[in-house]
Amino acid sequence: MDDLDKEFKQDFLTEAKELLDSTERSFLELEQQPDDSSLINNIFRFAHNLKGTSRAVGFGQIAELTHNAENLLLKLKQGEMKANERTVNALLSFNDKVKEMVEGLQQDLDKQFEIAGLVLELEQICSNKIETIENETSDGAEGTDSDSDSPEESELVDVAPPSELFEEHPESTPEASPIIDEVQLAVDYELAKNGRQNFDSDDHDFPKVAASADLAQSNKDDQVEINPDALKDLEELYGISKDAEVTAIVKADVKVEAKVDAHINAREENKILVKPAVANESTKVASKEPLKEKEKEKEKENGKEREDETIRVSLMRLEKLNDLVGELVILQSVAEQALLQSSNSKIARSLGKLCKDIQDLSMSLRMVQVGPTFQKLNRTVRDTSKLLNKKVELKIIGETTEIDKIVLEKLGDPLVHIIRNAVDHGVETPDVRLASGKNETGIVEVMAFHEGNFLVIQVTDDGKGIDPKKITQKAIEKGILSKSQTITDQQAVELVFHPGFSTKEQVSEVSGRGVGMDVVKTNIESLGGSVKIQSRPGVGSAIRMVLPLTLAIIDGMQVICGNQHLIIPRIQVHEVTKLDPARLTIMTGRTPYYRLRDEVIPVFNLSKDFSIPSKMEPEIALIVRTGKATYAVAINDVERQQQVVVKPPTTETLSTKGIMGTTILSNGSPALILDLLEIYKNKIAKESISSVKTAGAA
Amino acid sequence: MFDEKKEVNNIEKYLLFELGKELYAIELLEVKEVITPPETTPIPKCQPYVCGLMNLRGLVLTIVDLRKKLNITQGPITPENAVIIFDLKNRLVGGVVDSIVKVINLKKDAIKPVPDDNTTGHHLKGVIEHENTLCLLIDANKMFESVPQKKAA
Repeated sequence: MDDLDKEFKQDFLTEAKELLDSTERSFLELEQQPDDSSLINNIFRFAHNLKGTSRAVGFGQIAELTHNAENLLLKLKQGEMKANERTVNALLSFNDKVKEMVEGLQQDLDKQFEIAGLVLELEQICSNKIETIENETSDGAEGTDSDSDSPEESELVDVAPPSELFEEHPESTPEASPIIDEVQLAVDYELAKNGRQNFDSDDHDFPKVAASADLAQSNKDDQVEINPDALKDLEELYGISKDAEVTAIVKADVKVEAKVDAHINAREENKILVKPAVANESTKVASKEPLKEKEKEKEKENGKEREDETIRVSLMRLEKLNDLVGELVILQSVAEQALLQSSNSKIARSLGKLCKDIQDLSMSLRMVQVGPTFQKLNRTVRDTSKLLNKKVELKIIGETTEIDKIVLEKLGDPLVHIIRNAVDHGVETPDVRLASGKNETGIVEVMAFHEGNFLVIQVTDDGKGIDPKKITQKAIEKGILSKSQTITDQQAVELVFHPGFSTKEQVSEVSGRGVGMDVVKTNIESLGGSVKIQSRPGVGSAIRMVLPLTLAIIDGMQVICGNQHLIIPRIQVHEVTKLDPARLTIMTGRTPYYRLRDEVIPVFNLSKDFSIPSKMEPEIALIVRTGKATYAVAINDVERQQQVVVKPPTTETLSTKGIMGTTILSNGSPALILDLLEIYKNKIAKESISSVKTAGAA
Repeated sequence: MFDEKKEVNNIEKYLLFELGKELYAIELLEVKEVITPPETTPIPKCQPYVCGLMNLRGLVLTIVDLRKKLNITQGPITPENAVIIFDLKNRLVGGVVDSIVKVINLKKDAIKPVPDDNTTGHHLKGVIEHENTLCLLIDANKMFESVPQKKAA
């Protein structure tokens, strides 16, 4: 029982998390298009579902919070309120809060949260509106009480009749529009206060009334009490039917309308009220049309989805599958050798092909589209640009590009950093932009595409770019560079990746603590990727991240060091060169130096530094280039380049720095995958200190 | 309910093995398999008792020389030795032992607590009397748990 309950809760949380991502996007769109009723309807439906489900599985706090947000959404839906920055902010913080709660609850199902503040804010926004209603209707009304039932009751007013009824009377809209709001409010008020409506159903000028004339006629002179429960049913019916087919919506609309009309008391006195009320509804119908189209599209999409059904599988099981497939591939290569010897080459080939297909497929199972992660950046851009009073538009290209789920998860934070930097440091304020002849709105573009076995993510902005002179100046001030050092413009630009570097004069709330880009680089490199930056002053900057498609397989270089075969990630090796003794300078007590073309770089001996017994002198050097330094790592030989399946390091190897993982070589023996950057991280720090010191002394 | 079941069949199997001349035991449920010493790939910068990595049908796991780890003997590994693959809570690890003795059936309550003399390690679960000699029952999870901790310190 308990387990089942937990399972329900966890399922709910997983789904809620996905939904929250899409609602955040909807909220942002809402800000752009405050009148898009289909958007509001979508959000509203989500909020309603969330409230119901969270209550059902026993997350009272989420339900409470959502209830408040729902009240606000209802106001938007009815057109009582317009989505402005304040409401969107509130809705976004609601979104954040629920997300936080969902994440918290995933860890601990009984976790409690502080929600009072947000609830209060949502209530305030809602009640603000009610105050306005009061003011606007005060002349005709005897005081209003903001009764909590009003949202449900006002739902009635939102019920739009089938559109075709109105298509013949488009002209009624402009005439009546000035008093729409007032009437709407009056109607709301009447509903809330008395639970009944006074309408004139005999006015045949208006199709709504005409359509419902029969019903209304029969109710003439009857006072009908509106039962709140019945209204709630209506609301639900309405909501459900929207999820169903479009025809069902129309039916429901008709039904609902019939019921509404049943509540209408036919009296002659209120002609003016009816006119605009109908007109108001016709405007709503106009905006409802695209919704129906969208619903149809959605239906088609749903149809497609049904053809290709999906199931949820835990990542752990996929990993297990990948492990097993890895074993299969290794076994296959052993079997292939045996089969080839027994001249069964045909079987060997088919087996090899089959195994490759299986491996490809099992790898592809972990791939997900980058789209959702990119969409989240919209929020970053919005918040950052608002804070800095800049106008920035985010363009997203290549949303459907696929990448390993784990890589993508680790990519989120670096991307946010980069986007923030682009908005903060890159894009100029609107006046500066106009002055320099650019469009007022800056454009930040995120693009993803595949390049061989890598995924490239490129972030470009059309801002002011990075000034190499300024950055060099700053680097000298900070002691990162010595005055005597001359660097190219490109090297200067790459200084932004240097730890503790920030050119911003003041540390802003957004960025400028000088940790951002350094962290980005470290994070990307820990994923086996690389980051490059290009910038042209006045034109903009581009940051290019190259990432492996998956962490489970890397492009490895199999090398020999001492008596061991080792794997080095290909991406860490910039070039391979033969160690020419003539170019080697050996100094007592110092790391030897090597002349590589016009550079002088330190040479580290891997067998010494990694305690691998070796009898032979190293002959080959792997040249490693990082943002901070270039150095050579001396080894005995390079055997081959190949893709290797990365297996996690064993517990016993964890304490040894520089072991990235393990793998099994084609001969079946296990081998270590080394992270050269990690091994030489500290050495490089020491080297650069000593070189700075010598430079300073000179 | 579960307790009753245990009462009924509280006989468990234990694997006895030798380290040097000392007799040790481990719950058979914690043993995945026993193999002859495999070829290993040495791991640089590791504790001296870590022999290296082996490929167990596609899984990479560490082989540890239990005789060295428990400070019993320092001898080399010979083909006569055996490697027990321990099935720990979340991983597999191999331990080199001098020889495997046998598997015995034992009632749970026949296991006596470890005398508390402050010298025995925390990786011992109890003492088993077997053919008039005492042998120590090892808690494999605890024994291997201590590996990274020691190194970190």
